[in-house]
Amino acid sequence: MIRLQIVFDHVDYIYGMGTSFEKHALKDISFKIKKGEFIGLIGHTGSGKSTLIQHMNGLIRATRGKIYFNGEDIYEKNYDMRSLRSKVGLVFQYPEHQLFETTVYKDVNFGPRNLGLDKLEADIRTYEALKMVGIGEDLLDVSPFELSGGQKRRVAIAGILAMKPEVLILDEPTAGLDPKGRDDILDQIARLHKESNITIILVTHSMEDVANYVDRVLVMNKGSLVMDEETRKVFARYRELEKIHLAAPQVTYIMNALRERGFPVSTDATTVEEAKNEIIKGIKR
Amino acid sequence: MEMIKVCDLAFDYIRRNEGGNVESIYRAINGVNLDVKRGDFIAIIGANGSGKSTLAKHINAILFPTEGTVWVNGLNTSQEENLWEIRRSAGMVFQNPDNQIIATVVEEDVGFGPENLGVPTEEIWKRVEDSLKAVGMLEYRKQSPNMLSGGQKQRVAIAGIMAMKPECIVLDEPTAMLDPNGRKEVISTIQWLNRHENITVILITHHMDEVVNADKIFVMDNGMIVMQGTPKEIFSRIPEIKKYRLDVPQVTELAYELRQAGLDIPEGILTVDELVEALEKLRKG
Repeated sequence: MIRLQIVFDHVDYIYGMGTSFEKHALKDISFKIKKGEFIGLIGHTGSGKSTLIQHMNGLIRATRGKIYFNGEDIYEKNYDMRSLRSKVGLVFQYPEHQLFETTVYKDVNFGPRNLGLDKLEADIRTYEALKMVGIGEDLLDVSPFELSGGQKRRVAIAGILAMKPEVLILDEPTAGLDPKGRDDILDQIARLHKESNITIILVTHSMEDVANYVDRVLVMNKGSLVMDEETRKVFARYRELEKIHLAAPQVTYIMNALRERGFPVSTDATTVEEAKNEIIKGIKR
Repeated sequence: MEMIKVCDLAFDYIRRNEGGNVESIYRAINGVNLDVKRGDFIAIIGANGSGKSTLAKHINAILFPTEGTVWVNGLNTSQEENLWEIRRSAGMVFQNPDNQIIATVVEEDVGFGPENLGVPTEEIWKRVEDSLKAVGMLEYRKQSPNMLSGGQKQRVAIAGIMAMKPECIVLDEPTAMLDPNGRKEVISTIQWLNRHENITVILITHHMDEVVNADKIFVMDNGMIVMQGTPKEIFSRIPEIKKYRLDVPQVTELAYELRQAGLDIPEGILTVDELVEALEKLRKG
């Protein structure tokens, strides 16, 4: 049975309530996420994405509404928030700014040790996590500050993975990386998702990345959840996306332009591979 | 006279221990030659750590050559008496908008540069107005910068540079932290400044779709310039581009894949319109 892992039930959040800075950051948000889903979360800057993900591991408490994790109300009196934070791993933007230890190994080891695990278990998890993100043993004793941008970021992600979260939330994990570094990290995350059935929530501004990796997309605008659908269905509504300062991948525009000129192609394609197959099929007709 | 001339440039990052002795030397730039004509729009792309930012910092005289020479507007950056004039004529915009804005009101932030240069007050206000108009932010002049979106903050940062009446602007990943709309705003602003104010632009980015309109692209790898040419020339060489950890716009990749599959499509397609046209020709032909 596929179980519901995260449920938001009419969640509202208001910053600085009663002050002149009062801001309604989340408005009546409801959705359900099943275990093992790969979700994309998109929206323009200030649309409420970061506020939303900080609710998922209890860093921010909803002003109204309820949040359930694995069937339990996280605002119940005796709910174990500490354990929630280890089960829902949150990788912030530019996570490499949070690296602080003298070696790569120690940095990743810090999380599991802090959970109170014994040395052996913490060490095993450290090795596993570094392997999952593709950091080789030759780098274990190197200072994290001597690594490249992409490597640093993978070490920071390993630090979260070592806590064995059930849900991994990544806030723009590829910002500032070169195209190869971007693909490497996303491929690693996709592999991790496939192998361990961990739930992934990817916050991103790259519609191409959403098209290439994500099954279902949540779209935020001005604090409201305005779309919650399968990836291709979301991009089919590209005119609406543009109205809320977003866009579709370039491929969507190509397919729609071809369609307008009478090509017998489906406008569903969102990746280069799908578009290629569709065009070859269409041109032979 | 070129706007910028870089001749046999080499630069070493030198790390010293506590005793002041040299611990390690890292050659970040290794024999770069580069000419930028007045009014050109130049893009520099390359992997993380390839030397792009180090090169950019030479143009603004933040770093000085270990070997070779850099001339900006005919002035040698190694001569101290030229520093002020060089920094006025070549302004620099960085990745994070929040690190570049210092004042609490937009117009004061924009006026900071000329004020520092000793420009008379009357003239400062005129420049502030002209600059904010040029980046499309005049209506926000009395606002607090922290209420602006990322794209708007970057435009204010660009206005701050424009107020110093530069001949040239160097932008080091100005869109890395922005959403799709913010990216569009910033890129169209710098294209407008290039075309209408004849500002020489040097754009460093990891987003390949931002450089398709550049006059010339330089590709850096390992401290050297390894490819240079028009966007069409550069993006026709897909396998080579990928070897340098880079990518091509999605439409270029799709055109390439279709060519590989045997469709008769020209090389180096850069825009949706070009591809649609090529396919239409093919279908009718």
